[in-house]
Amino acid sequence: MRKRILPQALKGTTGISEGSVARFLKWFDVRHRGVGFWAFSLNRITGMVLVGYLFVHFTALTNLARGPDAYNAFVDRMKRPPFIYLDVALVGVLVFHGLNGLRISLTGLGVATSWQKELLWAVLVVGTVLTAGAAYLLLF
Amino acid sequence: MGLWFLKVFSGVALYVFVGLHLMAHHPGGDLLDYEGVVAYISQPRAFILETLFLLTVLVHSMLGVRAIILDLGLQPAQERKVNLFVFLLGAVLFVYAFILTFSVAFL
Repeated sequence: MRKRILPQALKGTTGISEGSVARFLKWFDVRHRGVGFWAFSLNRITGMVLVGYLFVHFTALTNLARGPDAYNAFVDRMKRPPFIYLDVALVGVLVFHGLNGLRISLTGLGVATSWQKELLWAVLVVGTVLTAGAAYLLLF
Repeated sequence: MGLWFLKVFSGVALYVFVGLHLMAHHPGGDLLDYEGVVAYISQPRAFILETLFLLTVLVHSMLGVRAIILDLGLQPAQERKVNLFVFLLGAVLFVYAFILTFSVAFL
């Protein structure tokens, strides 16, 4: 029996069908998929995380407009756990999205298409090194 | 295809803008305090750079949001609504952030 995954209220009013949502959810189903699909899914997911962070980052700007007391208190809070650990995770997400996006752009332009897997490993290695460096700077 | 290239070019430009933004606002992994931020963004060159960064990051992220929503496989009428939605969202965010930055830097 087919599983219903779309709330009844959304059907017929938004143009979103159950097939659409199922297609969207397939990003998260990486079973029996190649490395390229994992990279594609991760790029979309990290992209969504970064868009979420963009909105959070605007709150820093809002605090800046409130004056020195509000902003300096905000900065002090950001330098302490758990926010500082979230910053490290954010750097990891940003670095992966940036490097993997470059890989996707290159292969999309027909450059190094036969080296996709090797490039992905390079993205992971370079990304890990850069994130570790950023973690050292942020935490020590 | 044109939008795909725009996403690629804005993504490459973000390497430069994010790098400069991090170097200016997070020297040595630290965070600038209020006086430091104001001193930096009140320089005309830095203000222009930050504005271009804002524009580029919004273009790139809104194109990404659009691509994700369009992956749902919408009807053409819904696609036009999505295009309008991401354009308006990006425009509102740009105006909001620009006014805040300008007021902090120069007013």
